[in-house]
Amino acid sequence: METQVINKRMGRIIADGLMVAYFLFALFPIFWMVLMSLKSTDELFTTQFVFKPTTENYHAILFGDPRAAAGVVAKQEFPRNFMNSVIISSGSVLVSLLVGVPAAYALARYNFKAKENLAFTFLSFRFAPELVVIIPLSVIYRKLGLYDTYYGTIWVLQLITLPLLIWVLRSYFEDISPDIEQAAMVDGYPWWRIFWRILLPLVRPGLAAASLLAFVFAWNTFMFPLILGASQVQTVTVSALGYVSSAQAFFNRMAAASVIASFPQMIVALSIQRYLIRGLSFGAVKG
Amino acid sequence: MAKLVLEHLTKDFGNVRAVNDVSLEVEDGEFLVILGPSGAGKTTTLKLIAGVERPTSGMIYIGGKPMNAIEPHHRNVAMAFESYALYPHYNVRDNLSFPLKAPGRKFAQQEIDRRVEEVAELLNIHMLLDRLPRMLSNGQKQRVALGRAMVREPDVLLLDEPISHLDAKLRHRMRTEFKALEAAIRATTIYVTHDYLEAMSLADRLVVLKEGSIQQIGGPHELFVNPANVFVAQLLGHPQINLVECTLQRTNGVLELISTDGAIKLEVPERLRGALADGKLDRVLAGIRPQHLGVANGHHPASNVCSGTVYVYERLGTKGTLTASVGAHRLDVLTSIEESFVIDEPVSLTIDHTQLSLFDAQTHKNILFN
Repeated sequence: METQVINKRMGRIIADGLMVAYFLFALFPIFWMVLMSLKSTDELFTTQFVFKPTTENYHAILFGDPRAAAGVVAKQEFPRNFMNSVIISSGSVLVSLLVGVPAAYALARYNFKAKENLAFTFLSFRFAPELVVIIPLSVIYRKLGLYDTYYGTIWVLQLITLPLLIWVLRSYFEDISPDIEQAAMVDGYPWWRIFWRILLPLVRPGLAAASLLAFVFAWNTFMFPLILGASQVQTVTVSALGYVSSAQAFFNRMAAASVIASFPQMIVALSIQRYLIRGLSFGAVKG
Repeated sequence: MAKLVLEHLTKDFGNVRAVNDVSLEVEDGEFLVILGPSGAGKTTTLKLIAGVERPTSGMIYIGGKPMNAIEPHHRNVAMAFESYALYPHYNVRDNLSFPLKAPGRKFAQQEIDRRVEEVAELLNIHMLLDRLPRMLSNGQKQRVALGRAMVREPDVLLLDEPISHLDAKLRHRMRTEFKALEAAIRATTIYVTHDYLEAMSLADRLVVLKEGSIQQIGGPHELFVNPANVFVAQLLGHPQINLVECTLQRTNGVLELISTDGAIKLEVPERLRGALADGKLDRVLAGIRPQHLGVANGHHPASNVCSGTVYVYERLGTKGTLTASVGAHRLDVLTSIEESFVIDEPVSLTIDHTQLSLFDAQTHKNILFN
C-alpha cells in the first residue's frame, strides 16, 4: 500500500513537471516578445539579459516617434490599423455566423443531394494554401472594385472563418435529437421560435468556441490583407511588417505592436475559456 | 376534445413503407391503444397525427377539419415522446409550462402556475420542479414528458410508450394509475405500446399494427378471443398461444382435426363448422390458448386428449407453466400453482376444443374472417 501511494505521488510530480516544462516552452516566444518590446533600440541586439526597460516603443507606435527617423513609418498608423483588424475580424465572424449557423443546421438535419460533397467543399477551403488562390483573386478583386475595401477583405476571410463554424456547429446540431424540435413544434411553437429558444441555447458552447477560434484565425491572417488590401484596410499583422524596412529594422516596435495586437484575443479567450474547452471537446465526440 | 379520423394514411421513408393505408376513427374522448412490435409504424402514425411528419398520401381530420396542411403548432395536439424529448436547458417547471407559454395561447401566469402544480401533483413530480432533466432518473423523465403533454387541454393526446422505460414494479403501478388518470384525461387519447398487458388493461379499443398495416381493430377481449390472424393471436397473451398444424378429416360425419404428426386429435367445435363446410380448406393451424389446456389427472375423456412428456415446468408466483412435448410440438399449459411435475414424466393433456381458433395454414387468417 505504502509504495502505491508513493508511486501515485511520483506520477503526479512527473506529470506536473512535464506540464511546467511544456508551459515554459510554449510561453517562451511570448515572453521574449514582451522582453524585446521593452528594450531600446541600442540594447536590442545585446546578448546580456540585464537591460533598462523602456516604454518608448509603445509610445512610438501609439502616439508617434519623438525622434522620427527617416525611412520608417512616418505617420502613426497603428491605432487605425488596430481598428481595421477589429472591424475586419469581427465582421468576418459576424458574416460567418449569419451564413454558417443556418448552413450547419441544414447539413445536420436535412438530406439533400450532394450534401456530403458540399460539406467537404467547405472544409476543403482550409486545405488549399492561400498562395494558390491569391493571384487570381487579386485580379478579380481589382476588376470588381473590392480591392482595399472592408467588404472585400471580410468576404475573402470567409474562406478561413466559415468552414470552422460550419463544421463545429454541424456536430452540435447533430447531437440535438430531432425529437426535441418536434416536441417543441407540438407544444405550439413555430420553427423560428424553436430555433431561438431551444436550438441556439443548446449549441451555445459550440457557438462561443467556434466564434472565438474563427476570430483568432481572422485576426492572425496575413496573406489576404497583405495582397488584397492597401492603406485603407491595413491590419495589424500587415502593419507590423512596416517596422522592418531595408533602412532600419525596429524589431522592438514590431514586438510592441504584436503585444498590443494580442490583447483582444487574450481578452476574448479568457472571458469564454470555460466554453472553449467544453465547446471543442463536447460536440465533436458523441456520447 | 375532438373526433380523430385517419383515411388511407400512408407514409414512405425512401423505399420503406412505415405506415401502410391506415384508416381509423377515434371517437371523441375515446382511449385507443395501438399495439405492435417495434418497427410496426406506431410512432410514425403518432407523428403523422401530430404533424411533425408529412403523410405520403391519405387524410387526417381532427374535429371534422382536414389537418394535412395545418402546421403542428396550430393543431392543438399534445404528444409525449418515447425518448422523453425534454428541453435539457430548462428545469422541470419550465419544461411543464413551455406548452402553456406558446405564442397564441394566452394564459395568465397564475393559471400557468396552477396547472403546472396540478399536473406535477398528479404525476408525483412536484418535488422535482427545480431540477434539470439530466438530474432525473428515466422514470422521472418519462413522467415529466407525460406531464408536459397533459398540462394543456389538447384536442388529441398522443402517448408514445409512456411507461415503457419504468421498472416492472413501477410500470404496474403506473398502469393502474393510468387507469385512474383516464377519467382525468378528457382528450381523445391514442396510447402506443408494445406491451400487451398495458394494451389489454387500458384500451377502450385496441388497434394491432404490423409492418405499418392494421391487422385488427376491436375491444381487447374481442381481439383476445377472436384474433383476426396468427399475428394478433400470438401478440396477445402470455405464454403465447399454441399453434398446431392440422389436417381436416371427416370420419363418420364428424369433422376432426388431426395434427400433421398424428399426435393430437381434436373435434371441430360447433361454431367453427360453418366456416369449414365448403370443404375448400384441408390444412389449418389450430390455436390453443395455454389456459384452455389442462392436465388430465387420472380421468380420461374419450376425445380431445393428447399425451406427451414433461419438457419444462416453471412456477411463477400464482400460476405454473408446464411445457409438454407432444409429438413434434411443444405445448404450453397453464396450471394451478399446487401442481408439480418431473421432467420427462409422461403426462396427458385435455384440450377445451370449444375455445379453439382456427387459421388458414397458408394465409394465417382466422377462418371466421374469410
